[in-house]
Amino acid sequence: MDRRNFLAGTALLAACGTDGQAPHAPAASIRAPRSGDALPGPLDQRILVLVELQGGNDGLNTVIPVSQPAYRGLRPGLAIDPARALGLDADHALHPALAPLLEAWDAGECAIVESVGYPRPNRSHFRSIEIWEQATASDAYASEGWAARALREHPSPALRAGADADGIVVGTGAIGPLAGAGLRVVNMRDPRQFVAQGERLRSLGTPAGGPEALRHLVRTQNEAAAAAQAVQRKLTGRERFSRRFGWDPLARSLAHAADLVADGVHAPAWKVTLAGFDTHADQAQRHERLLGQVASALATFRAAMREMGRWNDTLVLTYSEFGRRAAENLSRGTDHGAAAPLFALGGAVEGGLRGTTPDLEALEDGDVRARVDFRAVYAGVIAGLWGQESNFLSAQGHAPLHLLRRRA
Amino acid sequence: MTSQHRGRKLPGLRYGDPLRSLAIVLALLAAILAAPVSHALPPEEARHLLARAGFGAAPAEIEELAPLTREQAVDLLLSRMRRAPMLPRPAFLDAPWPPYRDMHARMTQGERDAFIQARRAELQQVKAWWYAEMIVTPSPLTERMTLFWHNHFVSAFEGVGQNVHRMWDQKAAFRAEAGGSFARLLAASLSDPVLLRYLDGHRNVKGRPNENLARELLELFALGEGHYAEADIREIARALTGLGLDRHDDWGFRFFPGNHDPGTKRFLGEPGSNAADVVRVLLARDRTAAFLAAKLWREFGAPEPDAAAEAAIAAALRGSGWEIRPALRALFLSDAFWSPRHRGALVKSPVVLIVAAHRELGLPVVDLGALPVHGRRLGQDLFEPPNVKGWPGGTAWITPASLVARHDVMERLLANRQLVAGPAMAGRRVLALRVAGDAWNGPPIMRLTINGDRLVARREIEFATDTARHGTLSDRADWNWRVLRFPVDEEIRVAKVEFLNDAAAPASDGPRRGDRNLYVEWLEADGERFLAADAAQAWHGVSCGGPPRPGNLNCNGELVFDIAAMRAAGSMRPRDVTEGMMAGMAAPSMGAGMAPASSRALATALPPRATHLDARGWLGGLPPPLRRPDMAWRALAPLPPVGGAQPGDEAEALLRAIVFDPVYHLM
Repeated sequence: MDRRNFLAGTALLAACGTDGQAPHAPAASIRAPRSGDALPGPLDQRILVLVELQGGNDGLNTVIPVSQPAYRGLRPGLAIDPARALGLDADHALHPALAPLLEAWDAGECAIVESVGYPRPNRSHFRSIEIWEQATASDAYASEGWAARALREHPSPALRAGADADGIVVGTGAIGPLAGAGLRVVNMRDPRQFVAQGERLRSLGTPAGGPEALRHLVRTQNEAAAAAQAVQRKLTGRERFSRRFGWDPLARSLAHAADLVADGVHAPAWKVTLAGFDTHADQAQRHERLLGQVASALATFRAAMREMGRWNDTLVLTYSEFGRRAAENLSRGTDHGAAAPLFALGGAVEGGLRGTTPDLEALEDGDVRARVDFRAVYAGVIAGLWGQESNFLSAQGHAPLHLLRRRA
Repeated sequence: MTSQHRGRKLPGLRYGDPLRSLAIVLALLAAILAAPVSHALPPEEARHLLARAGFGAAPAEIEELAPLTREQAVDLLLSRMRRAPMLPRPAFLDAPWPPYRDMHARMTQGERDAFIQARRAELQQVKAWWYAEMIVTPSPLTERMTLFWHNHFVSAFEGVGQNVHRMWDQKAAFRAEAGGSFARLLAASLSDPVLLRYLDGHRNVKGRPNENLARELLELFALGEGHYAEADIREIARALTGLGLDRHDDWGFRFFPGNHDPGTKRFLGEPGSNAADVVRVLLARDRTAAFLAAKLWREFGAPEPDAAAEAAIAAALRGSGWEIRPALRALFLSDAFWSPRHRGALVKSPVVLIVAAHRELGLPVVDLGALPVHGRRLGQDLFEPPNVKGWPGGTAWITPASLVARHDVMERLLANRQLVAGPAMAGRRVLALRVAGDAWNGPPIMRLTINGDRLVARREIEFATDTARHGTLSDRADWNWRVLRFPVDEEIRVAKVEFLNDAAAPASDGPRRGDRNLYVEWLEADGERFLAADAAQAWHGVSCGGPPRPGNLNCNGELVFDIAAMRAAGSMRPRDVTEGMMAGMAAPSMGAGMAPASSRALATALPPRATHLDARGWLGGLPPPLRRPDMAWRALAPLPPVGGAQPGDEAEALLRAIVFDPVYHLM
């Protein structure tokens, strides 16, 4: 059911009071995002920042379907109090911990895509994140990440030619979407450790002889060293933005990313990770803390990128291996689910709600149905951010879901 | 040159010819020089054999092989192969099986998710257990062959209904036949519930054949691509109908006659009817021996084929009735195996890299549960190969990202030495404590005394979680644990940890109100670790609500470690691996660990293992010819380092120069 019809339906339900009780009215006022007109800069300046919420983020308590009575019914213990939730419109409210993102929302720089998933969902962490990273069907395997493939197949050399690396992964998360042969990917916990690692990973001359295994190792080391050195050369250690960020792992990773951008390091794709979302038990406190970390870190990152004049070139995209089941379990938590919302932020993002609101009366096996294939979102990223409308995902039939404003 | 050259008559010369006499003398000399090496194994050769046939080469192992010939050394390693592991299996396997049969019949989706989660946790224990076994086993060759069968008869946890119990049984069966019989393994594969599930063998029924099992049997287990026809697959699939899984036996193997296609089939040129016939026909083909021989050569010899070596291995397989030990003997005694051309030709798999580093460098295991995580990061998640072909191995292990990750893992493993010893405390006794805390209006204060009244430390736990900002965190894993180390100058007989400044926000602040607490997980005295859960806790004054849990000091109180008494009672007495097993395998409620009796049995069952907490210990343990800076690499690598580092004499720098060189990733 799409949003327009659903809103009409809600009004009708409110009038009839289907279960004899009036649905809870959202307490907060409606916040319509401003419409903007900023466009991304030149192709070789554009930055994708992938934010992995590792463990399976509970979408229903993140973007709350406040006008659906089933929400409280399914989650008597975990349902967020509507008085605390941050109302976006009559049917949607955000978890209160996401308050730091409201500035971006109001400015029209935050899009939320609802009910994102894929057919025949897999509920194994390891398999499902692989599906998201490789952008395959749930029964297929690829040999590289979707972003790696997109960068590799991109027709314009400008996208990668001037970059210091094709991908930079900051923190301890997996390389995932950026994994693949032939890509210059740099993996760093933090810049200081990175420099120390670079001293171990020196460039070597070609060995005179020896087995192929040795030659392969030396070639590989040289590749890794070259990628690392390109980034290392620019590090100033100035840490311009580091102090503004918090101390959780996501904040630290984004702080390092912001400092690297400030040092003039450029890569078309970045990835950071926040772990801990697998809230099978005692979800309330932990989820609130994690969402707070996400919101705070992204808000600080936005401020830093705006200060550097790079926010219009940037697209931040969250993703998680799955959402969580609509009903809470017996341990005051939720179990592995399927579709969930994702967040897209950037100066040139067309803010607002996209996709289809979950219908809690029409769950699939107790899970939110996927109404937007995540590959359409990724196709939209490749099309909108990297200017390639016909890409490997659109060729598979996934029409790009455009998140960014485009030039007329 | 082999002994076949001895005694060959020289053609074309007659008796009485002085040139002939000279030729005979020269021939004799050549024969003597060409005789197989019949003196002691030089350290580099011993290292080569041990590393290829095991996990690295510990100095003691090199020394043990030194006086032996190649043949004797190989026979020694083969004689040590085991059928059963050293370590007792993880405790959960001794409990009744969980109801796998109900997974899809009776459970709700939520119950199923919880069930799978519990099986995953057990799988992590099994992975950690296997690393422990590989590190301590006196027969690393047994474990290398177990890994080989794991990568030959491939299955993966997610594809077998998360049946960790049956996966355990399968790996135990692989270990039992590590040096046993391929014939038995091949036959067993067709009644292996794990393999049947993974390859849909149980879905292959009369009239509705599923060819997956038949195809992989031919392509991956027995013959290899190109040595059978599609018709063979179809016919073999028919012959394999009826193999199934019995739900009521938690999906154990069962033959369902009603599902079996009874007609005669013809495959690979032979008539046959059922699974036993399929195995018989496969084992009768020369190609099967050649296929397995080639795979063994690629695993232990070199990536390039060697016709002579493979022929010898295949002949040994056929001649011995498919026994593995004779095949390995032929492999390890082949000329090609010892040829300089193939030195360093193989890339260490992630598991080999991690286990070999522990065995040959004497690294302590600080967190056993982390080892499988390292393996996964490097691309090899035990029990979870990427697909039915298993791990491709070889240079596929090495990409820019995986090489960086390998360096990172090696760095962490080396750093474990400091975690146990502490950098500035060489020569002094060390008391270590793993603590965490909750702070509210200031951090908790801890006082540590030993032997009655000797004050060791009184300090704020400044890294305690700020509960005013974050609330109290219910998940123990989220607490900010740190290890504190204190040098002490006397033997630690009793240690007391006190929490001095309990406080909390008023109850009216609600259930998440701020609170000040002190948490202790373990104490280490002179390298022996004792769990807080086994210590004695008492409150000072007011009693604290809730069931007491030693280590959780929610109110002012003390935790007393009576070291002598705890030792006598068999509290965990961690050698490096046992402590890791406790850390990696304890139930979610910390401190559950292993029962004292079994931990004591475990400690005494483990063979002595040298651990070196600094590089000087390692260097000093090398065979004397290798203790020089320019020779030490021969103990750890098959080729001289290419990195060009000039480490000088300092042991730690020397060790790092080798371990972070590309050659360290070669076997």
